[in-house]
Amino acid sequence: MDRRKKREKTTVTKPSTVDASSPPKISPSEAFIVTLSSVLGLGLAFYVANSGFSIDLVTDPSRTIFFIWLVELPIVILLYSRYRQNPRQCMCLVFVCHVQYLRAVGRGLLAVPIGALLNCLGAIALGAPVTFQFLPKTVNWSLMMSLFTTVPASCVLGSSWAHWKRIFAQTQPNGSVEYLICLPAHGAVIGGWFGAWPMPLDWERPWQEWPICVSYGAIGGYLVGLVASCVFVLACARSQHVKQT
Amino acid sequence: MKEREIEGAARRRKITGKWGYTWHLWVTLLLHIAAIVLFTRGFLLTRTELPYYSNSSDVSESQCLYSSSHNNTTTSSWTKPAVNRLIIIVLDALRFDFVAPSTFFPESKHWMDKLKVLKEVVSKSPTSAKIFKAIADPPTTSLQRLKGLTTGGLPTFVDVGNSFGAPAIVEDNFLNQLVQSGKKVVMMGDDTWTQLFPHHFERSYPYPSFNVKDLDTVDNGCIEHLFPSLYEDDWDVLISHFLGVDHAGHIFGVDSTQMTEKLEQYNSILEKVIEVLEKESGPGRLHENTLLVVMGDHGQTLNGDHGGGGAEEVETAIFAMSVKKPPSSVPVEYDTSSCQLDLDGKNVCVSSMQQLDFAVTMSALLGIPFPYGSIGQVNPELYALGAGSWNLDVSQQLSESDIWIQNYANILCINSWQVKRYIDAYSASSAVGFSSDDLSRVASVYAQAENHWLHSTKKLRLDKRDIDALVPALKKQIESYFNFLRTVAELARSKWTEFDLRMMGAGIAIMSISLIFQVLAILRANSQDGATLASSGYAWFFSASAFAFFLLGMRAVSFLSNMEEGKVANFLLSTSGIVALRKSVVKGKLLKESVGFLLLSTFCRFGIEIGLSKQASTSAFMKEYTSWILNIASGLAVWNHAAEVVPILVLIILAFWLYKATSDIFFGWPRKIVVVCTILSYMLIIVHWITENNRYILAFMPESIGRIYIPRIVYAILLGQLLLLVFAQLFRGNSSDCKTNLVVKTTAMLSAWSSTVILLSGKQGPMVAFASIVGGYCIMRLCDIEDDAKNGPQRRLSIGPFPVMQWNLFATCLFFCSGHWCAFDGLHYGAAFIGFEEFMLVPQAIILTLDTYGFSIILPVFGLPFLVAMKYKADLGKHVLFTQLSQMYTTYGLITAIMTTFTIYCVTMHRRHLMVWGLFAPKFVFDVFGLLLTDDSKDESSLKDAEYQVAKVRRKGGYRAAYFVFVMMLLDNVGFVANMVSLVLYFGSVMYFNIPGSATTTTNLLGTAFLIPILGGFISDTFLNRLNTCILFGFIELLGYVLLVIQSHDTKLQPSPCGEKGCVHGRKAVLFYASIYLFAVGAGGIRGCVPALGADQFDNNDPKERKKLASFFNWFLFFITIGASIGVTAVVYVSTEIDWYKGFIISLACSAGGLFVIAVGKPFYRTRVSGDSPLLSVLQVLFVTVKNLGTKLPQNSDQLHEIQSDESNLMKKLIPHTDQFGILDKAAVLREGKEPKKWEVCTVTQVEETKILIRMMPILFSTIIMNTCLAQLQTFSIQQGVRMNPHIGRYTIPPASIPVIPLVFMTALIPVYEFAFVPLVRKITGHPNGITELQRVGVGLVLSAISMAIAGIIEVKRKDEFKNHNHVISLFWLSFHYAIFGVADMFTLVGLLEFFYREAPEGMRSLSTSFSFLSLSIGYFLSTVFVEIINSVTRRVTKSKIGWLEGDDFNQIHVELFYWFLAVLSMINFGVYLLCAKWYKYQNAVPFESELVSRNDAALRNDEIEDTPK
Repeated sequence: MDRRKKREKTTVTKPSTVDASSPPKISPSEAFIVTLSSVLGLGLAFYVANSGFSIDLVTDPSRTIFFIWLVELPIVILLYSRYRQNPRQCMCLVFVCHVQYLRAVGRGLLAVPIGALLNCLGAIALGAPVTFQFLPKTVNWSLMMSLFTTVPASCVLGSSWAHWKRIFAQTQPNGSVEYLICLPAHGAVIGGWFGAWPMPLDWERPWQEWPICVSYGAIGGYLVGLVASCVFVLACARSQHVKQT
Repeated sequence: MKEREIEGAARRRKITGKWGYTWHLWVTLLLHIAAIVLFTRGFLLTRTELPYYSNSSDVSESQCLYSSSHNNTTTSSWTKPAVNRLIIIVLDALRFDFVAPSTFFPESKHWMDKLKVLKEVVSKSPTSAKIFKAIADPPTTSLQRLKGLTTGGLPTFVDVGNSFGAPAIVEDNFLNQLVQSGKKVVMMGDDTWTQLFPHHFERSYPYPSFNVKDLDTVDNGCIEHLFPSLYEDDWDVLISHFLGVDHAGHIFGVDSTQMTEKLEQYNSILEKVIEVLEKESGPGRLHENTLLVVMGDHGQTLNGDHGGGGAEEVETAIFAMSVKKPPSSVPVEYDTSSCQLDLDGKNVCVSSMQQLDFAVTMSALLGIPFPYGSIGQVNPELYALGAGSWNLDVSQQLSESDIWIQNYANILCINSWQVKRYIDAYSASSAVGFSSDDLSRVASVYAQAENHWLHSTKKLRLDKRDIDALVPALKKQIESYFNFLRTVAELARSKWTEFDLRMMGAGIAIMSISLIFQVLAILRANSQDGATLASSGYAWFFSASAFAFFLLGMRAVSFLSNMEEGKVANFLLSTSGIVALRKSVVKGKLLKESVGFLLLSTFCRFGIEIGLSKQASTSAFMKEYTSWILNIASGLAVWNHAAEVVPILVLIILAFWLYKATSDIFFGWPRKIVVVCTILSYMLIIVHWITENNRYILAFMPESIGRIYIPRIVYAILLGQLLLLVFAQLFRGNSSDCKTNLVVKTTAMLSAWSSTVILLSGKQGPMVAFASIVGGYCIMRLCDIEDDAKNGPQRRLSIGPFPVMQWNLFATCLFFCSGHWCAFDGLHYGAAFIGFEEFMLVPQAIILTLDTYGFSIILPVFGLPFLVAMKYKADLGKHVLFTQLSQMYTTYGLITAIMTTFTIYCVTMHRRHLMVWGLFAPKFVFDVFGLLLTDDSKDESSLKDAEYQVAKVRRKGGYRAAYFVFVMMLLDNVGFVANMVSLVLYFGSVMYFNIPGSATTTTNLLGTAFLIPILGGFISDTFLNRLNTCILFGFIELLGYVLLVIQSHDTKLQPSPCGEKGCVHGRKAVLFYASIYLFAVGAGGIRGCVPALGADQFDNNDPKERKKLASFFNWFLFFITIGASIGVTAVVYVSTEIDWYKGFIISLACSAGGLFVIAVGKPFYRTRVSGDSPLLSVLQVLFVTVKNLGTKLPQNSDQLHEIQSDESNLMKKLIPHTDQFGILDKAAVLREGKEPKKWEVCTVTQVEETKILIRMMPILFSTIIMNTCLAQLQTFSIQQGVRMNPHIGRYTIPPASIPVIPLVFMTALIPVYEFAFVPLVRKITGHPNGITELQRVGVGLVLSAISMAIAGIIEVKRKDEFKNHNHVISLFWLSFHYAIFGVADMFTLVGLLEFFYREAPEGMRSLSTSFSFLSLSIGYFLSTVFVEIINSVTRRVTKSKIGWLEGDDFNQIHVELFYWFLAVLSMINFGVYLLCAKWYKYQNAVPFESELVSRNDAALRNDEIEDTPK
């Protein structure tokens, strides 16, 4: 609830914060491409799981989620690393540029397990089962969540605590790329949280199992977050356009 | 603007006071109670028990063929008896799979196939023995099932609550029918049977059933009596109820070696029983025609729980074996059995039946009437076992199965008729009957069957010709009866879950209203504090509140279809923890706390899962986890040791923690003791645990000490602590900082409760306690996360609902964490036996409640003030603190109430749901209990806290406070005076004292009652304050009254007449003297401190109040006289004319009311701090005077010793030196070389106090004579009155009510004095009270002399009229001297009281006011002395040699002379008094400024009119 509130607040205060630092910029079309490829990646993963192995989230959550994060991993890391911070320095030297890009990719790869650990801990605190039976599901789910939440941020922001804090704790994205990081991540977490709701109910449906409905919620929230961030990037670009002219 | 606000707040504060903070909590409680009562009445099922009983002759009303029609015997029976004797062996909690072969189940478990003997019997002779799967109806608790089994009905849910009390069954039942039919029943085993059927058994051997830890007592008892009984012939039905399996299940679970051992034991027992039966089964032997039934009353889950409607719980087994082999089996149509080969390759068949059918089938077999309320059907297969005995008298032309069908059809006819009769009777007489639709449906089904019976079957049967047509017709007939009985059973099952929707709706509506009310209360409080709510942090406050209510809403909604409330609560708790963590990252502070909180909630989550896993009946979970909660030790020795040691270590840490925490803050001594006691309790608990497990220590001390006495000591300590806390409440903590006070109180309260709660929770207790402390700490810290240091004093004041919500969630988590869940099998019955060996309802119910709600309600609710206390670093004043506290409690209550409301909604919605009994109903009960408990404890605790608050804001003293004193005196004197007057009659008429005996007893009693005020005064001056002294003595007085009531009510406690001086002896005497002297002591003590308490309310140094002080004493007397008037009329009338004990009850009620009033007034009183002992000070002066006799007095009195420090000024005023009694001044001389110590030198003030006392003494003594005169009014004058005409007008006045005359006069005259006399005389004398106190006393003395003189004259007139004119003069004549004496009393008593109060040193005011009662007391004693002296003197002097007052004939003795003697004595006394008074120097002779009077007179008058009681 309060997160949503915060978000509304930031939209109001946004123009003042835009000029504060020099955040990496992203054009609406690029943002659209990122969004589209993420969505398509998800779709691809589902398609592969469904047609190739005839499984889906309900029948075999573990493997389906595995496909999801496997497909999303290169998309997210490769795409977001392009918008790493201070890319201007590489204007002069293509080599430096490449090195920076590769470092961003490396950061992203490093963030996968770390983010997974964080997400896993969070899930366990909230009541995810910890038996061996559920271990592969939990691991796969955590990796997926990691891709939704921490990996883009680490690709773009690196290890800057201040930026992380601003985006994840305060929800004050600064500039279009940060919208693209912040909103989908929040969407995934909140979606997952809501997705957990049906779990304790006595409907006795197969999808009430961990982590099926949570994954549905997280993916849904992620998609909403992506779309919303696209809209914000568009609005952001427009307002800047207006300012410049 | 701001000023006006503050003013407004102040005014509000004044209005609100103590109740202002708590009234809405009380209103909420009331609303909740109303709502819950209504809802419960609609929801919890009730089935009316009908008081009708089946009779053996009833059956002729039916259209069926009953057995008597065959035999034409006079006594008809319903069915032909098929068996003679019946053995019922009940194995409690017998699961179906204990009996059935394991091949019936998909998986073979090792507890199956243990009761081999049953299978063998069944496979050997399938016609004479059968195994049934019996389906029980929930609730599956033993008591309900026994009730269901014997009545053949469906016991309802409410009875679950009665399971502890086990009330006798009043409905018609199987056992009752047995007894009616002259069968003899023997019972052994579970004592529930004897509670259910207290008078039905020929012999019974009950054993206690509730101690589940005991596996063998009941079983061994059964075995001991079962086998000898089998060889006896003095019974027809034998019931043996084994409990071992049930207990083994409860303690160890089904999957345990203990369970297997139990089952094997039963197997061997059953083997032996069957052996005996078969041995004795020959013709003419004992068990020729015996039926053996082995059955379970219900099943159990794998954890050993039962109570709900789960398949494992309802499926139990019945094994039945007929010793006489029936010829054939049941026709296939009615055979429900399915057969399987068991492990040994034998064919075993198992049938199935409803437990409902048991009672009626057994009745049919035994040939007794069916229980009236039975709705079961005669089970064909079970009934067929008795078929061996009824094929003899029927003609051989039919096959066996045809005969069987004939018989069975007839029995079903009777059965259906009986059920129909019950249904009709139930609908007719029950408040909630069946609906007419259902009734007509049932009726039509029955009519159909009956029609068929009458028109075809019956005829066919009686004809006995058309055999071919008969059998199909019979089959059709049976089918239609089945149809009917099935319909009824279905209807009953659905309808005896009958809900009263209107009631439920009303309950829900009131509940909703209470929610709205609570929200309004919070909003109102918020708006009052609106001004102080700083704008910074408002956004966070708002969003946090919104978030809190969002979570709350989520939680509430989840009840709609929620299985795992604990998980949801924990989920929300963790969510709130994550939000807090996020916030703390933003703020960059309190990281440790928020991470810790999150970790804690994660731990909680594991705890909850383990708890839930016990609930979910699979124990697989337990094996996968090795967890922090104990007793899951997985075989490793380390685990075992850790499970032993860790709780003890944690407990030690807790104790140490408590010690550290409390050593920092200032604690008053009572609370310090509380904390120390808690630590002691902790140590005791450790000892308890060690002895429980450790065999080495057991060698040193008997087991029972550790197991029984230590827990009891802990409980006792808890009680003591609570009492101490209440006691500490009386002594207001003198720490000025009310925040510290709050913390101290809360800590003390929590620590008091904690020890018992930990003890009850077992080994996990310390961990949960530890967790709750950590969690509480984190929540407290986190709630000021938003506070920035820069905000400083402008900090936001409101706490908001978020932390409260967290607190509540955390409490809920703790409930689940400590292994509870919302179901009856989730109760820790084991906890109820900590410290108790056997079952006792009340203490164990309390203990169970403590265990269940200890961590989730008691501790959190009492700990809630911490949130407020921690929030405010600075002491912001009481008002803020208590507003916050009250608001927070309201919020907490609101959260609980919302949860309960939602539970109620859900229960209502799911009322038809299958799960309603298993899940929602218990949840409802739990929530409701929780809610009421929360309401109650929060009311208590907030009320307790609010008491401080009042101390400062209330204007104290004045007439407002005095009203309480007045009312108290009025009420108390109703009983006191009445009993003083009438007890003499009680002694004579009830206690059988003779006349002198009762007179002496009365005098002694009166003397005591008037001497004790000195003690009361002394105590209230020295040790306790006046109010507390009064309350103390009040309780003594009440105790005395209670004893009096008891003795006067119960004739066994009264003596029989004996004609001696006193007839009471032994125990009766103890009771008697205890009662009257407790009464006297209590009443006397009250009189010692109440006048001073009242007078304290006026400040003697303030001229305005000084004037009121005088009128206070007038009004004081006024109210006493009113009370006394009521007493001597109404109470005396009741006592003497109606019943003594009723009179005492009225007195008791009045005194209790008075006590209540005086206690309620507490916030209004000015209290004086009690000081050093005044008597000790006087003693010191005398001692030092004697010591210093040799020294010389200094010339200047200034050189005398005096402490001139501020300290002494605080305690009392310094009194300037006076010259009288110079010798005493020597006490104040400091001899050279001596230290100024006590007992060496006294201060001038001390000396002067002593002087004042000495000066007052003559005044006191000179009033004694007057009180002697007063005593005559109660003795001789009443005797006079008895000999007068008691008719005044149309009314007759009883003699004991004669003393009402002076009282009436006083009542009338006091206002006159107050309003007319005083102002008038004041104008003349200029004294504010009209005349000085001593003048007042003088007037009284003169008047009393006059009164005595008149009394003598009237006596002369009376005698003259009587002797000479034989005319009895009217009682009216007495009123002259009574009236004058009343006026005299008014002058003297009030004058004395005021004199003593005003003149006494401040430290001894209570004592000195009680001096006036001393005078009364001596006066009474002196009266007796005078009578004796006069008699002995006049005997010698007079010619007749008879004393003036000797002889029984009142007309002969010379009372008038005695009166005149007293009158003369009074005049002499008055002379002495004048001298004394002249000699007396008013202590602080404040010169009265006449100028002041004239200036303030008008204003004063106005004041007076306002303030004087109307």
